[in-house]
Amino acid sequence: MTLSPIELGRRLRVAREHVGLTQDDVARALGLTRPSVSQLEAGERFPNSLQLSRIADLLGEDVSALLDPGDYRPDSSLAALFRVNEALHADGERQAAVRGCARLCSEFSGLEGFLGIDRGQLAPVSYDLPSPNNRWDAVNQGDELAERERSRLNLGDGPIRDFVELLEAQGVRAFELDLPIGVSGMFLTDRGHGLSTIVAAGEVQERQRFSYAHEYCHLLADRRRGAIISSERNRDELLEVRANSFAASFLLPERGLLATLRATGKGETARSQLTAAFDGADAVDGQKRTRGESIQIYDVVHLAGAYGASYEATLYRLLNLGLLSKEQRAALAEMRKEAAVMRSMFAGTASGTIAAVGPAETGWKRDSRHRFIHLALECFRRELISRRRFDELRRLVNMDDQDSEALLSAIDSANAQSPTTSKGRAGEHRA
Amino acid sequence: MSTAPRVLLVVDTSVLVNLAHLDRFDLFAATGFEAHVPNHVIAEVTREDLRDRVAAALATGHLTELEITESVELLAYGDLKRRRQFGDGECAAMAVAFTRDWAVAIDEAGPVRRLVLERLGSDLLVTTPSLLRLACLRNVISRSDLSLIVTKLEANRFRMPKLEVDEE
Repeated sequence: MTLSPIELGRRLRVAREHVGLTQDDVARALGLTRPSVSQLEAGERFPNSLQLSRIADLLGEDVSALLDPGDYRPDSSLAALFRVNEALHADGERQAAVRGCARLCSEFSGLEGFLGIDRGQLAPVSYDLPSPNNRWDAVNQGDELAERERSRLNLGDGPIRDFVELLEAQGVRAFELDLPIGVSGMFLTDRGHGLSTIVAAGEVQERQRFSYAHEYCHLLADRRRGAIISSERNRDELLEVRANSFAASFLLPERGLLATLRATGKGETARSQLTAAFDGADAVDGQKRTRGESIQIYDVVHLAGAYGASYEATLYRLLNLGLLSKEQRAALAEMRKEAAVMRSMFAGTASGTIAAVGPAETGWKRDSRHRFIHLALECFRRELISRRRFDELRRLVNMDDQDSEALLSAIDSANAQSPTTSKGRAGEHRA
Repeated sequence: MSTAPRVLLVVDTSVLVNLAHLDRFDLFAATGFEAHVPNHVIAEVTREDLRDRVAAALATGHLTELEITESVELLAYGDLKRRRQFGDGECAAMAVAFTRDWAVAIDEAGPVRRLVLERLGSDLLVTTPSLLRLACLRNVISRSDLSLIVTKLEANRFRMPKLEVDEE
């Protein structure tokens, strides 16, 4: 079996064009001249394997795919993402971050494969919903889907304490990543990357939860569309409206909110009229029908804390449910600063608030990188991957040498004590 | 002066780093090997003092840098990468060893060792301990040198098995 320089050159060109980079971009990133990149793509010479490996990394491609003696097909889901989103297309640094995350997802699938984990069985259901005809339809679909999914998962009407855990239990990976300004999240879904949701790392926890829920809706209802980016630019698209409606209803279930309010003598029992959907920055207007109650700022803060939603999202949800009038919502929205003070006080005293145990206040970020390391460790312990390979994988999630050493020492120690595993690894370098 | 041909050897990061810690790249030639290092492996040595020692060994000819540019070796490298089991340097070193039937110097105890034994057999597998044992048996290093070397490697987090050096 051979691979000609011309064919390899063609693959390099296809892979480069697929992610929208120029020969100059490649040359600059790798310290080559543009004519030398041109020569490689023309098949005038083979790159050496190290050059090839670095080009593959730059293009977000697997070097083994470029060297596959069979057919070569570039990664289409990523390319589609970069093409459709101008912000991502223009931001080389963040585009590289997304490629890095996609590689992480791909490696994730590889580790699961080693361990015999069948992602197909883990994957959540897919709902076959018709395309919404208008905003009202989209809002209703999102709301109903949230109720169906809550019911399917036996979540009851209470808050979702750990959204990442919920996603992972559904076979969906959750990552935080630096995304371009205006991009709140995205999801990848194909055999190579698995089902993965990505939200903006810089956002506060409540907003990330909303984004995770939003992307989860895409995953449940729009999986066939492949990769999707959620951003301010496409906020008005009906599928985005549906996803926002889902997120609001999923995080802030009507019955749960009403029960919580009733415990303080507020709220109504009648089924609400949906009027709008919070989409993270603004409301998508629908019909307005007010069922205003004497809901106060501290009620909203309490609900937001209890359900792990932002103050703003909770206000819109209460508006959607007819529990606040438009004017009441606007007045309460003016009290953001006071709400933030109250929220921090509640977080320090009330055991029921999600924020009190969540990452935003403690600085503790949690996403599927933990599970990735868990799988990598298991593969290493079973001698399915080498130590050097483990090092490459843990670097993908920025685990440093010291933490890695401590973990591997613990594994060696456990192996040495276990009657079923090999007794350590004499003859191996631990650095 | 011996005229026996040297055994061609491709060196992986683990053994390279150990000899860099010892600054004893001369051990390859002294034990009958002609040592070649893939550029992937050199790139994996990140500590500056060790990189300097590797660079010096390349300059003096104790080591020769090697690039994979032939189609058959590139495909072998790609095949090993596709398995997702090995580090990049390990893939490069094994690709060279497997396609050229060279010996390979590698310390990894798990899947790499299994594959090397399967593809090349134990005669073409060199490890830091086996290299030191050979050096001791050929009187390149003394028993007391060996003891110091073992201490130094263990101080650099290499777990050395007990070496039997009484007979060849």
